[in-house]
Formats: sequence, C-alpha cells, structure tokens
Amino acid sequence: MIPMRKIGAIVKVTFLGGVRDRTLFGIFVLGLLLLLTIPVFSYFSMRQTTEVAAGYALSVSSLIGLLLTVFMGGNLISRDIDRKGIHTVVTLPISRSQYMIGKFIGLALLLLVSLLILYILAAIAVLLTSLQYPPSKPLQWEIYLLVGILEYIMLLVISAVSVLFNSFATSTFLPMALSLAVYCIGQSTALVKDYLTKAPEAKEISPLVSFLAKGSYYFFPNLSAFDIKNAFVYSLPVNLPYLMMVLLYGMFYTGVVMFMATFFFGRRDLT
Amino acid sequence: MKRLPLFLLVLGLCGFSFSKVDRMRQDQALPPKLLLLPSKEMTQVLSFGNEILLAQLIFFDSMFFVGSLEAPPTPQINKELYHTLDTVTYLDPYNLDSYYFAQGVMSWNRSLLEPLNALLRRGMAHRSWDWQLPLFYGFNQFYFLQRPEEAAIYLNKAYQLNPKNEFLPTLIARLYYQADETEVAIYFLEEMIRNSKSEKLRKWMSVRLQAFRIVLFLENAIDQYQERYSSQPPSLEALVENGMLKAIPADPYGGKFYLDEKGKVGSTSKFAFAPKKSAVQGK
Repeated sequence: MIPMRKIGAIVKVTFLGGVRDRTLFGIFVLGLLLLLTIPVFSYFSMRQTTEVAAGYALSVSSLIGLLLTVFMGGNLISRDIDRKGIHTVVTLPISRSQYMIGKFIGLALLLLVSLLILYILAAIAVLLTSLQYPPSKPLQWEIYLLVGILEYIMLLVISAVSVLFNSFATSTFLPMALSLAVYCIGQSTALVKDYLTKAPEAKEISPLVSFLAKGSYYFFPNLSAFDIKNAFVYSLPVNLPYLMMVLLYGMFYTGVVMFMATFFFGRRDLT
Repeated sequence: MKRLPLFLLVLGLCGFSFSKVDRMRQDQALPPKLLLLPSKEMTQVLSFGNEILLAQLIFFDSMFFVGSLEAPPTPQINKELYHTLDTVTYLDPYNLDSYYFAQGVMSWNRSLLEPLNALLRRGMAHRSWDWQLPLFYGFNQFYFLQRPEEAAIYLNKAYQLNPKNEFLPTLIARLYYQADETEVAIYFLEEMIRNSKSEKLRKWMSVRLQAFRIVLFLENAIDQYQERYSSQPPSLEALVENGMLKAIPADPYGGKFYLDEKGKVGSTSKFAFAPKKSAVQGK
C-alpha cells in the first residue's frame, strides 16, 4: 500500500496545482463563457435550433477539454524540471515511474472534474433550448453520457501522449506542440486512409505518400473513432459493442504510451 | 490629475478616428463573398473532429451572404452556393438547415436542379425519418422534371413519415390526374413559407407565391373563356375585351403576363427580378 500512498501524494499535488493554475482557470472560464453563447449561436438556425445548440455545446466542451489537456500536459513535468522542483522529487523515496504515474492520474482527475462541469452545464443549456424548440427526434441522454465517456478516454490518450513527450522534452512548448500535432493527426488518419483506399483520384498519389499515410493510421491513435457527437445531436442509433471496443482500445493505447513514457523517463539524465 | 486631460484627449482622438473608419468602411466595403473553401474532403480533414460545428459555421456564412444580397442570387452565385452547401452536407449529412436552404434558393434555377436533387438524395439517405426532404424531392420531380409518378412515390413517403400533413393525400391523388402545376406550386410555396424562419427567403418565396396566385387566377379565367367559346383565347387581352377580367394584373416581378402558343400563362419576367446593375455579384 505504500507505493499507492506515494502515488496518491503526487496525484494530490498535481490536481491542486492544476486547480490553482491561472492559465487553466482562464481556459475553463472561456469554456463557460462560450457555453453562454449557445442561445445566440443556435438562434440563427432555420429548422434545427436544438441540434445546432447540441453540436455547438459538444464541440465547445471538446475544444476546452483539449486545451486543458494540452496546456496542463505540456507543463506537467517540464515545469518541475524548469523550476528545479524535480531535484527534490528525485531525493524523495519514490521511483520515477511512480512519480510519472501520479502526475498522469492527477491530470486525469483534473480533466474528469473539468469535463464533468462542462458537460453538466452544456446539458442544461441544450435541455433548455430543446424545451423551447423541440427537436425532430427526442434527445437521448444516455448517448450524451456515452459521448462524454468517449471524449474523456480520448483526452486520456492525448494526456498519455503528452506525458510521453514530457519524458524526454526539455521545454514546456515541445510537449504542447507535439501533443496538439498528434491530436490533429489522430483525428484525420482514418479519413485520409478511407480517401486513399476509396477515392478514384487517390490512384494518382505517390506510393510513398500513400504508404506514410497508411502507416500513420496504424501508428498514431485513431481519435476519430471516439467521436460520436452526431449520434447525440441527431439521436442516431449507436453500436454498443463497437463503442466498447473503442473504449478498450483507448485504455490500452494509453497503457502502451505510459509504459513507453516511464521507460524513457527512467533513463533520463535529470542533473 | 494631469493624466485626466491626456486620457480624454486620447479617448477623443480614438472616437474621432473610429468615426472616420466607420464612414470610410461603408464607402469602400467590398461586396460580400462566400467563403472560399478547399475540396470537401480536405475541409473534413481540417475540421479535426468538429464536422458538425464547422458545417454549421459554413452554413451560417452562406446564409448571411444570401441575406446580404439585394436580389435573389444569380446563376453564378447559385453555383458557388451549391459548392458550399455540398461541402456542408458532406461534413454533416444530417444538417437539415442546408437542405431546406438549398431547396428554397436553388430549386428555381433549372441548371442546378440535378445537383440540388443529388443533395436531397444525400439528405434522404441519412435523415430517413424526415418528411420534408421527400416532400422537396417529390415537388422537384413533379414541377420541374414533369415526372408525376416519381413525384407521387416521394410525396407518399413524406405523408407516411408525417401523417399530420393533411394537404399531401389530396395532392398525391391529383398528381395521377395531371394536377394543375400552378396549384401544386402554390401548395408547396405556402408550406415552405409557413416553415421558414429566414426573413429574406420568406420574402422571396412570398413574391413567387403572389405571382403564382395571379397565374392561377388567369388560368381560371382562361378555363371560363374556353367553356363559353369552346376555344382558347388568342391572348390575355381577349379576356379583358370579353369582360371576363377587368384588367390583367401586374406581375410582382415587374414583367408582363402573356399567353404562349401552348396556351400557358407566362411572364416576360420569367418570374425573376431583372438583375440590377447594383446587385452584388459573387467572387
């Protein structure tokens, strides 16, 4: 139980550090302000006000979640290294892996709380809109919950990737930029692969580009699989076994990346 | 306290310069433009998982653009609008706003009818519960493409999806007996106007509705003439001369109604406002 307690201490410090962080607070407040603009944004819709409100609310929550992950993840360990705090940590009776896992769980907890608040407020806004402008199909809140869970797991994947970059990066900027890049690549690889295999124009693309694109599809996290926003917005049926598999995939991918991160960090020269 | 006069001076200058900018901006305002979009596949990749939001933003842009036009869109603008709406519905094939808007703005332009119908087919494939899309599609089949059987299939679909639509069964029944085109168009326009939230679209459709009501009125007078004299009137003026009409009503589009060789009522305006020189062009 002692390693658990040690990790717990790191989790607590990371979580509280995140709560006190002004940048993160700023991003969070921005999210709340954006959610307040839901009625204005959806008002312009001609025939699907509630659907527009729901799509907007989910996109805002997702964007804020991403910003929180990237900023918080970028600072996670490199800040400790920059401020020499890491030297104190190294002298503590705690292994580097425990330190790293504690940092990751702290970030995950912070994201959970932030996402929970954003999703609850977004739900209230969407619900109020739907009372005034009933959607063509009734809203299915169990799908909303699923959207939130998948979004959270996706952010955990990004967090793990960010922790991995932290394990060898020497500045805070690098992990932020790289994890954002991984997010962008991860969101598009499935689309690009589909295009390459299905579109007739794709035959003219050079084999090298095609090979790289397909390679990225298997190497980078496939983040578009976690996106089921339209299922809630338009009350579409969902394929539960598939989503369960996506969920497992997200967790295992996170696990693999965390293993790599602890491996690199264990061998890093911190002096 | 020395700072206060300085602050007021800077504030005054700021206000002055802005009032100038505001006035000059009005003079130099570039004509409104539609967003220049890359291919729809590229746009989807660049949305990074926010297809619904991006589709809605692009749609709003095109809606505001059309709202800023002084006259209904020209064929060139319609072509650009089609590309935009094609992208919107590719990103989010469930977006009802864009189908509704496409039907309202593009359907009276013959060259865009096939692309518009392709959009509607995309919509019907996804929004399988929606009665409005088969209604639009069926109307286009009947009115523009003169395919009453095809139209009846889709209007029937629309009715089955929403049995509250009481006007549909009568309409479908009449389609088989060569329904009067004008009457169907009036039905359809009334339905579109009733459901429209866009002020501009409603205004344009209302002018069209007004024109079609006049056409129907003239057609009824022609029918009366035929009953009385067992022959087609040689012209609309003949209806006035024979006392069936007091005068030929004015075309709300500014044209003049006439009777073509097939005995159909037409207008020199072709039911479109003459393009004004000041009308804003697209790109």
